[in-house]
Amino acid sequence: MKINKTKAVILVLSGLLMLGSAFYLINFSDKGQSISEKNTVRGINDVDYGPPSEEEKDAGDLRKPSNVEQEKIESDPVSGTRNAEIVIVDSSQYDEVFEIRSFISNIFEDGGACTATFSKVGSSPVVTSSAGTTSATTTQCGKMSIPISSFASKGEWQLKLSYSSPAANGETLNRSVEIK
Amino acid sequence: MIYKQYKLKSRLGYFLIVAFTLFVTIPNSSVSAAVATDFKAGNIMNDSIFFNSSTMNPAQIQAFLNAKLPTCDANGTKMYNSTQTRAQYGASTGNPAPYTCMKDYVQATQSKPAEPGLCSAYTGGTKSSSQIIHDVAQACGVNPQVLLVLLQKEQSLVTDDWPWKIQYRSATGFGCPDTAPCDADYYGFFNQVYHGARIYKKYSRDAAQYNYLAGRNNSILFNPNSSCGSSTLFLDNQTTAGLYNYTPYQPNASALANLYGSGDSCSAYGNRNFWRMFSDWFGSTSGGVSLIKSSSNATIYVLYGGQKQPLASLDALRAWGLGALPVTTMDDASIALFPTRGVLTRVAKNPYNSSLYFMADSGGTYDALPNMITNWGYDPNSASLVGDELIAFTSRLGGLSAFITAPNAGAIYAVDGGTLRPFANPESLQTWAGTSTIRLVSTDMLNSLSAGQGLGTNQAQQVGGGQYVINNGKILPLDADTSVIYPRTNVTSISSGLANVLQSGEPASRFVRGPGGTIYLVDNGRKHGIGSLELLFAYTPNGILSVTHFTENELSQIPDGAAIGTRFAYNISDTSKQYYINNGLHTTSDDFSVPSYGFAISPTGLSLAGQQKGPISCSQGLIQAEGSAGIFILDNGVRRPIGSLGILTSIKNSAGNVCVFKPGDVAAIPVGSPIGAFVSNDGINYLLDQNNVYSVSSQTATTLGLSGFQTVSSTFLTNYENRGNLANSFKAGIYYVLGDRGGYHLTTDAAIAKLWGLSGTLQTPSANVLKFIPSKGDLSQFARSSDPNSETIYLIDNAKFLPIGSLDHLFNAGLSNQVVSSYSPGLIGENLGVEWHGYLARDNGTNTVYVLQGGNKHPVPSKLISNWVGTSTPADPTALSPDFLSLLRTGPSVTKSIETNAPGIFGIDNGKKAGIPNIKTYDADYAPALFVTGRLLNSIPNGPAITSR
Repeated sequence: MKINKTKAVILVLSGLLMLGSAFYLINFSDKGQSISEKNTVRGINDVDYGPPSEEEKDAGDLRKPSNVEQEKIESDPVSGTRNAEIVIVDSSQYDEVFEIRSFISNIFEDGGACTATFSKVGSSPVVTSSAGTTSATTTQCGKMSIPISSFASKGEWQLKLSYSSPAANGETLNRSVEIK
Repeated sequence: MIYKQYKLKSRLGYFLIVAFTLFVTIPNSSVSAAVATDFKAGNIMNDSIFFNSSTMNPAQIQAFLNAKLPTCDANGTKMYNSTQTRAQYGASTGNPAPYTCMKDYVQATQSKPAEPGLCSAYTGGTKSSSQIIHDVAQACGVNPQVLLVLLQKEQSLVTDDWPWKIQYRSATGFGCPDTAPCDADYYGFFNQVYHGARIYKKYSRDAAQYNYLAGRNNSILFNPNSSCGSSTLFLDNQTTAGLYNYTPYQPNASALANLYGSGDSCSAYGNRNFWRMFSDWFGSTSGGVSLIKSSSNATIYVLYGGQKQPLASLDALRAWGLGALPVTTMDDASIALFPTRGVLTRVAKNPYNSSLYFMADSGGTYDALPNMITNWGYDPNSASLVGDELIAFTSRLGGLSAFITAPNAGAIYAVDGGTLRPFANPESLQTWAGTSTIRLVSTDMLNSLSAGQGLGTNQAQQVGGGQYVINNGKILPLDADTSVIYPRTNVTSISSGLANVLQSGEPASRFVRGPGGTIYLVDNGRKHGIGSLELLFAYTPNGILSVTHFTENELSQIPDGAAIGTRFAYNISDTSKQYYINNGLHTTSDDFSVPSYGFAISPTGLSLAGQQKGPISCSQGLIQAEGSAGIFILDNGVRRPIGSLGILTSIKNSAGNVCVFKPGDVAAIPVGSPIGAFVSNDGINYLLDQNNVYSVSSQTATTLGLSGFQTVSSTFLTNYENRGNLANSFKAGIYYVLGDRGGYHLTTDAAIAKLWGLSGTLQTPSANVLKFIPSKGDLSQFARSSDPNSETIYLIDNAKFLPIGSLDHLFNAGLSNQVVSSYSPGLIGENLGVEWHGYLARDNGTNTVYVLQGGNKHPVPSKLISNWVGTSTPADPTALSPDFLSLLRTGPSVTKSIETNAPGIFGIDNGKKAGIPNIKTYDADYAPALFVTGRLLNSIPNGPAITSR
């Protein structure tokens, strides 16, 4: 009987373990999805009114260091003129126009000036400018469209983009561009 | 189910409906969690979802916030790390408890004025976060769900149970550049939400000012570090462009491979997280579609994007390919909860980019332009406004075409204003369709169009509109001129619908060509091959040439006309209008007779050939081919070779010109018989003499020996001034000319001419005429017959032939070394005078009597008249003209006696001579003696002996 009781206990414990494992597998094995959403059929404007996923719960904690960093930046502002970090989104030829699209990633202001300078040995430089305006989190240089006819010759030119405002200055390194 | 947690009874019905609709929503949009493969970097979210501001009301937003944040750790009692509570950590960084969760957040907001194209007016007030999100969404026309995701993406505010003030201050990250202080002008939760929504509308309104544009390729970076590279994306819609303008990076493969975690050092997560969060919380970003209807009404609605759209008809249901979907019946109250869109018809329009779509019966979507919609018989202005998720639900079939067929249709058709028009053959199809796509449509779609007549020739006209020629799928307009010269007798009528969808081509030129090399001029409904490039440019005004290229079949639909081989052309409606066409119109004189050989051109064709230019006038119609020596004279549509320079000189006015034309133009004029100076017209013969013409009687022709008269036109003669009948004698240049039985005699000596009566008013043709008349020698003072049997010599005076009786008389009359020309017996016979006395002559002007001898004339004093003329048998001194007598030297007057070299002196008495017997007698009655020639002595008859003293 003792053996039988032992076997019964083992069987019950085994059953509980299997149920627990199944519960875990069903509910916790995929951290990437909320439990409630898992395999739920949903459609358009099908609002998920379920509780937050674990990841969503953790989001607040994970956000805090970057906020601390931001507060540190703001409590110790850079004095004088800042260095403008210029990002060239695209500098390519489209048909008979060379386009430059760019923004200043670390400046948020209106009124600055973006200037593109194309240079090539033996040819007159080609210079064009546009105004800087605020986007959501950056200063965007107005799109520059330079007619190919402005270039004295085809081939490889060096492009340098600069930004200037009372608060910031900066320029890119020369980059090779192909005028076709 | 998740909805069990939601206890508010008043909202239970709605959510039951939502749950119910979930059941009937099609599976392809019903995944529960985001899957990386569903992420489309070029189409992160549809416009109709992003800009749908009516997806949630404030209570729904609040309910959502409550659901996502069941408990707020306001006092920060939970552990932040192994050693600090959240409150402790917060305090250490300047962010002490208590904390306000967003579901509980309330803020005083200021009103905002309306800004066209951005946000309508926002009414301020103290509001909860859910109310602020809702009201800003309404004011700026942005989906409140988008704003919730934005708040979560930037500051985790939806699910953060201990948010700091800085997270509200910079809730959407607006005005916060990388590694720099945020702009204080945009601090505050409301400010952040408002400007976060507003900037997306600004990206839409002022799209061209920003870096990323919808509907074109854009180079998009993977990371702020440009060395991580970029890729080119075609951005499908404004929402996606706006998202990249807000956060200018796309996720790289690593970021997408770990959708809920981190990628590599080049990963950026903003747009990935936005898409993932939205997908997780609010469903597909591209939409899903289901059908619902009210239990009390038969109208079937398409439900998508949280809104319902009634179907106009079962035809529309089929067209949208929704026929296979189950239709869920709901009560009226439930149906009413869904906002209603406009009626869904077969033609649809995306309100965000104005793209038009035409639905096939199979549920496919044809992209279409307004004109194509019209051509199919639908009104593009009545297109249903639809969300792009409905479009995405359909199969994209490419552009709608005006050229279609269907399975087993057995033909290819053109759609012409809602009518099907079959093509009779491949050539016709090629003409009308060119390279246009021929769509295979469903049989039902084909049958939805009414049957019409086949499309005929490529000569087309729009009903009530323009005139055209169809060329390899292009519609070439004909203007007021070309619509006259193209063949318009068999024209295919088409609707404005078809005319507007055919590809526009350049206006049809009057010059055309086919696959072969020949270029044709279209005129008077026919095509006329042009022989050379030179000729082609000649017919082109100002040398500007455009040629319309037709296919062989299209070209064959213009009937053949006469080839053009010359610049000479005439108005087919008024043949008197004749031209030489050479980059303009040069009028030609009548002697060109262009209708005989020129190109018959229509009045319109002439007007298209260029401006009027100066006339072409060639003296006497003389023409020459460029580079060739031969000269021709135009006569009644032929050109007659001029055989020699002499003839040319004789018929060419020295002040005139020879027109030089291109060889081909000269060759086009038929060649006539060679021409000389003698011509005839209407039975009258003429002599051409430079710019004059003399009529020549048969008698004169005989006299002068003129023959070989070439018949010419009366027009030809108009180039010459008619100087009347040509006389038998005239003065040609310096020459006095006398006709004589097939030739002429001439002299330049006016005195001799006078003997022949050639004085006073004479016709004065040019000396050139003498080149064509046989010469018979000079005119002379003495003459003889050309008859070899006649030995008579004549003295010429007063146009008469005076026979001379003997050789002595001839020398008495003055012959010394003068030429004695021969004249025809006829002339002599007609003008024969009395025989010359032999040595006596009377001046028929003064009646003075002379004795002529050896070239001298010796006056006979009146007292000696009886001696020399006689009294009993007086001689009759021949009356001679002063003209003749003036040719003789005047010698001393005769006396009563004469002597010669020979011995003896002769006395003259009673017209006779007799030897004087002795000197005494001589001295007493006869001295002095006149020394005379022996020929005179011989001529004087002998008289009775003189009695000696």
